[in-house]
Amino acid sequence: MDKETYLRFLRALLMNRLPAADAEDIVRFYTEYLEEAGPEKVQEAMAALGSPEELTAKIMEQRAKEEAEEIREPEASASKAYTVPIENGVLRGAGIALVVLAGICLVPTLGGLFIGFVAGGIGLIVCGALMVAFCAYGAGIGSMLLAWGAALVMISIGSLLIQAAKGMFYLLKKAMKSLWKTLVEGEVSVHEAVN
Amino acid sequence: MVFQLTAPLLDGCVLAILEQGDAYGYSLTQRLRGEIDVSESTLYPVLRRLQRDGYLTVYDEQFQGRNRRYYAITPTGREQLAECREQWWTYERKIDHILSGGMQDG
Repeated sequence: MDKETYLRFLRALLMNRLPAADAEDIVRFYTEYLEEAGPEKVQEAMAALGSPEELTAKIMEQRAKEEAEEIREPEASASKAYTVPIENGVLRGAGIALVVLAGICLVPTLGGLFIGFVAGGIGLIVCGALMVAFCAYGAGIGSMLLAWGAALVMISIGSLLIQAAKGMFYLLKKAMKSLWKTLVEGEVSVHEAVN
Repeated sequence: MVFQLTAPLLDGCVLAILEQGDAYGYSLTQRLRGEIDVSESTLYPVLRRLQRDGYLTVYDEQFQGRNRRYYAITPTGREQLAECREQWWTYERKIDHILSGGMQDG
């Protein structure tokens, strides 16, 4: 196929699918393109573009994609979040200071609660165990069972308190770790409006 | 190339070439294709979009009896190019960080 035939086919195909001005503009672009390729490279250039049908299909596909993007665009570009690494030495120092400060506040508070919970838990368990032991010498079987029941409840609550204390310990560890990551070595989230 | 070139990146590449000087469609395509694997039919929609958004302007010039349509970057286009460079370098740094094994677990 020579250049003129190629372009005539292309124009006919595009005229059927697009507003005339758009079709003309595209044909104009490819006319110039093939002219610039020169006689020795024009066949190569046409082969690379594909047949007029293939090129038309690509153009239409591209337009459809762009139109779809334009509909989505306002929402997509309203705001976007990305992270920037902290490289500034001063910021890094401030970050370390903040983490230490948080540690000073958090460790005694949560540590105190931790000790309280553990002690309370152990106390309740010991109490429950003692009740079970001593009520064996008690009077009727009814009151003995009642006492054992109460003792078991105490032991359970005691165990729960110890579990809670353990959870608190992990919470503290996690909080400190994420603080360190965010403030010192990590990245901060930045929200930036995009026009 | 295994990596896909996305539209904003391709826009940036075209603007960067035009920053070096005005160019016409064929030369622009050839220069781009000298570096990256883009299809011949990719460039027209890119140029049309950039023109519509005011990032480039066109003018026609006669060359050996035929018309050549030149594309030139506008001041808005230069701003857009600067923005694209900024975004790309940020992105590049992050990918470098991950690829070079700089990520810590946790």
